[in-house]
Amino acid sequence: MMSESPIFMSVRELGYRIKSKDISPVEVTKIFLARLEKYGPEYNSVVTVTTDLALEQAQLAENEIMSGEYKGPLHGIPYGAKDLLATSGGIPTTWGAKLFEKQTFNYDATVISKLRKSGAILAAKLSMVELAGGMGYRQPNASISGPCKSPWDKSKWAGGSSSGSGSAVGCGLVPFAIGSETWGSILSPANNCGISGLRPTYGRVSRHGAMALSWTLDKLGPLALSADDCGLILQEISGKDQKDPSSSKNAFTYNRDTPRRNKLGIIRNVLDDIDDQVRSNFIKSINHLKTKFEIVEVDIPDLPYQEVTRTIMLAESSSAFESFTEKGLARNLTAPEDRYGPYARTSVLAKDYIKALRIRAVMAQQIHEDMAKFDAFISPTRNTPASPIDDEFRGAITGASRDIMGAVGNALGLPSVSVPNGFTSNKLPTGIQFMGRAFQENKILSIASDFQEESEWHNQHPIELLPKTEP
Amino acid sequence: MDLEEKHLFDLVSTKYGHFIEAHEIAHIKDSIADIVSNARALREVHLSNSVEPFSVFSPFSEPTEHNSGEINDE
Repeated sequence: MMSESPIFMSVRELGYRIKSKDISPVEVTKIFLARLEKYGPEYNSVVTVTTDLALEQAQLAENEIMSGEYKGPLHGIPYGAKDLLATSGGIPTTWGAKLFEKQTFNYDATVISKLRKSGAILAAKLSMVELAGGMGYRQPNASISGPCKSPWDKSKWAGGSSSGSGSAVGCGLVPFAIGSETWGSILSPANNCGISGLRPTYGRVSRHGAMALSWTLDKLGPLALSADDCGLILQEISGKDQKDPSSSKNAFTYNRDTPRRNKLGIIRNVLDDIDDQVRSNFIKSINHLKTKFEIVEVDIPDLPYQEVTRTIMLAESSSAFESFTEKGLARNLTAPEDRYGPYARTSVLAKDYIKALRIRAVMAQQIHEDMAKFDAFISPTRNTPASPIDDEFRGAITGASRDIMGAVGNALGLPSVSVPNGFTSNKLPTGIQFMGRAFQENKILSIASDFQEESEWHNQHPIELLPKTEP
Repeated sequence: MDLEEKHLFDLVSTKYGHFIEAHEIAHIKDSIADIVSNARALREVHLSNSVEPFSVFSPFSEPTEHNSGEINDE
């Protein structure tokens, strides 16, 4: 019998209690399955609850642990996967679109296989913006599941495109989730749902079995209650995979004890055009960080960062969805702007795409040099708190909003972790991101974890979702 | 619409016009204007002949027990 509810318990703590046999994986899984069934439809955060598979995996984990075969920190812990990750066994993988609601695969994405080998339990496929938002959506209602809602306010959007991954963790429906980011799709829901999200270095996690939107920009990563949990999860899902030629040979072992320069950079003008309360919370975070770090404004080279990232995304997605486009299938998408989104991008010229890739090389070298003096670059995760679910938003991908950190980080495949850093007067969470050089996840996770150990934002959860309100 | 935008729109319209509804045409024109604007920003960056795209091509070789399938320059 459990002495304490596993809901909103960190992965580290839950893992420890499972290992010490204080908590049963089967019991934990049943609790989270019940919450997925109850709250999933309320928040539009779930596409499929994988009950049978979860109970089977939970029983297996319990048997293994009871017989002394403990596999590691995720053994016996339920999780959810963004519904663009292929899952075998007849479980649909909808890519967030009605058109693909019956789509199934006869194999598992590598990240799903790795988590199974770690003993984690797949409890749900989580909602997402249709086709990972790649068709240029400008509103939350762009998904087979409806607009996904923030745990903090059901009238506000959970962010996208890994909407369900953010909302399900923030609602306490799963202890962690896997999301994907091409430009902003992990960090945005982490921000809007008041949780932690890690965009790993490009190639750190195999993309095999994940819907391709933009081959050189797509990354898979964890969303969880803390940066520390993200580190534990990344260790289990990273590594070379022969099925993904871009996957890195650099092994990742989570280790918070990393050397630091005690210096953080803020790209000059990155705070222009941001919401006043987001700015205010960020300045409070800076004042806190100043006790340990020198914080310096940085001038980065004058290059068309957003235009490079946007051109790469448009050209690659146009090719990835060529067949879809040629058949006119966009007409079946939910958001009106997604129905014509694929066509204009077919006019990106090859020479302009290649020019973007050449400028990317210059950017990579110069930003690498600029970042060498710092442990990380920091900024507010998003310019605004969560927007209303029935409003259009201004997105950087479509060029309607500025996001230099996102453009630089995604074009160059740099890791970034977002953690909560406060609330607005309407009790909407805001976030701060720590972006590091390639393959320096340990450094940014370490800084973010220290920040969280000295703050309480990540330990706050919506009152109506706390376990005491369970019937 | 300037000439480049017009030519690109004509291309898109010729190829996909039958999928596009009348009320969507203005949006597509805006998207093409954005694409051209992006391209012009890229074209303003002067690069030397030696600057290559930031992607590495690797000839494929069948992975074996002793060979990961990656280039081995030994």
